[in-house]
Amino acid sequence: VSGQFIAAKVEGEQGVLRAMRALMNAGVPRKNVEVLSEVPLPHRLVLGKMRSTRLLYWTVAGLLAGLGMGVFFAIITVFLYPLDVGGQGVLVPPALVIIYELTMFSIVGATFTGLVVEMAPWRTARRPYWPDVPDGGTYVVVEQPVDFVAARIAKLLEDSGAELVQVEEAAG
Amino acid sequence: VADRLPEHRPAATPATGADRPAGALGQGEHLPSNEELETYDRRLDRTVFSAMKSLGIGYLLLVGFLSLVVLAALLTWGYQTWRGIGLGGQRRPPFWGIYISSFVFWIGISHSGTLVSAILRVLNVEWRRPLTRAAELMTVFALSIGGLFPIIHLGRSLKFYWLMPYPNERQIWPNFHSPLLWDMLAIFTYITASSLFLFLPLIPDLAAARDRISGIRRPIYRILSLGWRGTQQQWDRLHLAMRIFTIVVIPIAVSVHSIVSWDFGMTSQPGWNSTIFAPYFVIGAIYSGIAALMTVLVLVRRGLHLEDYITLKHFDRMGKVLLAVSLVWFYFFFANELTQWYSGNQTTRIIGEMMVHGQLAWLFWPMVVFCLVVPFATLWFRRVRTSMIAMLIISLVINAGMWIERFLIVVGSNLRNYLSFDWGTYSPGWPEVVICSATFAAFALLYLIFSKALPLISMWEVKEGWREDRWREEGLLEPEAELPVEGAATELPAGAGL
Repeated sequence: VSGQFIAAKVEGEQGVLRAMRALMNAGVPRKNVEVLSEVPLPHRLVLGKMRSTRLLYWTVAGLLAGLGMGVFFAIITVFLYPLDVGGQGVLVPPALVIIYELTMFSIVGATFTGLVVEMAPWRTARRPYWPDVPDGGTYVVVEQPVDFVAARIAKLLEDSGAELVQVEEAAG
Repeated sequence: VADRLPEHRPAATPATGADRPAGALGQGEHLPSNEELETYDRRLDRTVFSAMKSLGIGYLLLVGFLSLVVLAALLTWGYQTWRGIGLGGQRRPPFWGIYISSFVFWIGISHSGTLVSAILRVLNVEWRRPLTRAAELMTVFALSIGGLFPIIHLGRSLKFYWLMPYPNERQIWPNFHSPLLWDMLAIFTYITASSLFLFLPLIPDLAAARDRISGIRRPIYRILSLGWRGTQQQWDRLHLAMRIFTIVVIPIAVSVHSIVSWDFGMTSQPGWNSTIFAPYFVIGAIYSGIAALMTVLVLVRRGLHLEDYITLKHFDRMGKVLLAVSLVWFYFFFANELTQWYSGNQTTRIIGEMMVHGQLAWLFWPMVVFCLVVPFATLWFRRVRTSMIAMLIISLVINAGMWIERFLIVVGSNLRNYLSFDWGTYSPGWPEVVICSATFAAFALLYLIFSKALPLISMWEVKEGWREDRWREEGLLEPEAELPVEGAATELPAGAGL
């Protein structure tokens, strides 16, 4: 991956499909192609689901961490800070309430953290964007693969009816 | 009563998926063309963003007035903290007064926003789309207000942190087995989950605001939109995160009001010690929350001119839900009262008699009328359900009734105990009245302020809803969408009807 971008504005859903087909038929790897749109598009239209995500791992990690926190606060601290609370035992139903709440808290916290990390807002500033995307502008952006010249990708996009808006050629 | 058609729509209503099963076009309906969708999209954008930009004199006056009321309440709280909680009317035996009644009430109001939104999302109910944002905002504001009451009620509010678990020099570890600590954790968890549940679908709309609104707000939107570009990867991640949150937030919401009920149910106090309290509180919370949501929707619809998006059909459906929930609430109310009365417990019976024909009857019977008779007598009729003024009045009346119900549970049951020396009366002090009344102003103020800061309709979800029927019709939403990420050149979809 070169870090150089070729981008084209497409007209409507059919424009997306034509551009995507042209790129895929030419062998451009799907992971190098992004479609920017105002609304989420069906996977059949953009020819494939997202690349792998670790969001569910974050959720599971949050669940385990929350369980650990809950057990620590509701059970282990009872031994660390002995306090007679009217004859209650250690493993009593109220401990489950605390464990439950802390687990849920940890799940939502971890899932959100995972989303922020995966979206990596600190990196997206360097990637192409056009402010008319929320106004309905739809763009196909190709991060130039090492075995493709930018001109060829640009031609593929133009031939599919898209309007080229950015062509960067990788140095060397 | 016919629903108002948006002016920008042609006479033959384009399908939006909101009114019928997928794929079943109604008479005179057609799937919207690209041009029509473009027109709807831009009109929605204009409506939402013009509402965010305009600051009329009426708006400013209202914000100024509400700010003064809230300021008065803050000063009263400060005065009460300085002089002591004795300024209020809380005396043993009723050591919990209208602060705790209001706490239960506001936590209840908070219930329906996130919970209703999450349930509608789980069930993929199409007509939810224009409503969810207003509902989720309601939860966050109501929780923020409700969560303050236990701190206000402490009297020495600055010592609230003693509840928090931290090793300290006093060698005292908070008792995690106490329902009061469950409360703190549950509310903290719920407000975190609700805020994030509100924030996630806001991200694309914040990005739209970032690209359209200039001035001091733009950098704030830029930060909050987390670098949103609208790539399919981002949409997919957002959808996945929202699915996870939707599933997690429902049990959290149920647990919160269960735990609030256990503050009472775990005691041996007559009138409180009931195994049915948790579901009874949860259904009461959903009931008052839906009523509050109706109030908010009527006002937001009128105030921000959202008649084209929050339609009479929404009120019709929400009215039916409200009627159904009112009946379920009555079932739990009756089951609780009947069981307590039949138990033969003398003190419980005295409390019941006090409510039915004693010193609390003047509150009990209005509560029955407000919470049961009014919705039952009115919400059967579509004409009522689609009348804005009727729904506003009914929803306000229901919530007045639900506040009284909370008061009767919290304070009423507390007036009588097993031993007659421990009987008493309660009347709220002026600080309690000022602070509790001002919370309604605070809620309205928060809503007014945020109506200018955030899009009150989830724009991208509404736009997505407008397209989904056509995509479904064209086979684009078929499950065989999974394609190899790379090397897809040889395995393209059949064209999906395009």
